[in-house]
Amino acid sequence: MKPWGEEHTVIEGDTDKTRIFLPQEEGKEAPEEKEGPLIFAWLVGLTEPHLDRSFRIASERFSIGKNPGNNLIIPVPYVSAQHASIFFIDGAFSVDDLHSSNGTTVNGVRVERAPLKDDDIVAFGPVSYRFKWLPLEKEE
Amino acid sequence: MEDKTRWEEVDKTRIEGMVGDKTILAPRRLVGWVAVVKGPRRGEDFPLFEGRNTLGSSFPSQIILHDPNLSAEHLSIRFRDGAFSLFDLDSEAGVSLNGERAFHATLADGDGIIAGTSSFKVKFL
Repeated sequence: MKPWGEEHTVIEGDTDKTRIFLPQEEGKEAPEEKEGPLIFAWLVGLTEPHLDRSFRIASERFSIGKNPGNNLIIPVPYVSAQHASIFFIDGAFSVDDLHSSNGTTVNGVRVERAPLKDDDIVAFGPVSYRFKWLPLEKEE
Repeated sequence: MEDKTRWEEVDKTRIEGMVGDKTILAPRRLVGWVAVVKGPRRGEDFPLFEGRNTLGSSFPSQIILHDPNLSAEHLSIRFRDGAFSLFDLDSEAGVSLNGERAFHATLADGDGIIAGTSSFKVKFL
């Protein structure tokens, strides 16, 4: 197991660089190694029950629906159990409607599948959100 | 006796009322995020609220990155009158904005900030 703590670079002599790890602080857990690309996107609620609340989209698949187990749970009528999914594929976002009863709209237009860009308004049945995305360059 | 009260600037528009001698403040409005792309908190995001948001390695900073190369209160990001600005709070290691040393600057959506060994981007709502 890799000892984990604060990482420091120690320069010995002129050229030797040694990385050391200071002892782990008590009660502080090592962060999990995150797999997949770094994704920074959010849904910010524009209506109840999530007015002014924000939800981070950090994975390549983000599910929305009434059922527990979805990444975003919207416990209101007219939202289907598995309502929609947001995907991050090849550096771009899209939303898929999962044959929901009351549909998914992007900027007011009902869609089966549509690309998502920063500031789009996406609605699942009667509940709408603003989609925000911070694109990152490859090396990040 | 030592005065432990800390002077804080209160945005008067946030005052909802008084209970006894305590001021009740409305919750601050979310105006954006700080997204950490490098450093001990890589991958995490922190909300930015209307007014002053301080970032550093420990209390009393509001955004704490646990980066030993940051000062306790390293920098602040302020949202006021519809604009974001960045302030270096006399930090030891300094602040870099889009690759250049910055002390006080106006921020744009997606700007990259480096402080200590952490680098992060700001995203506006």
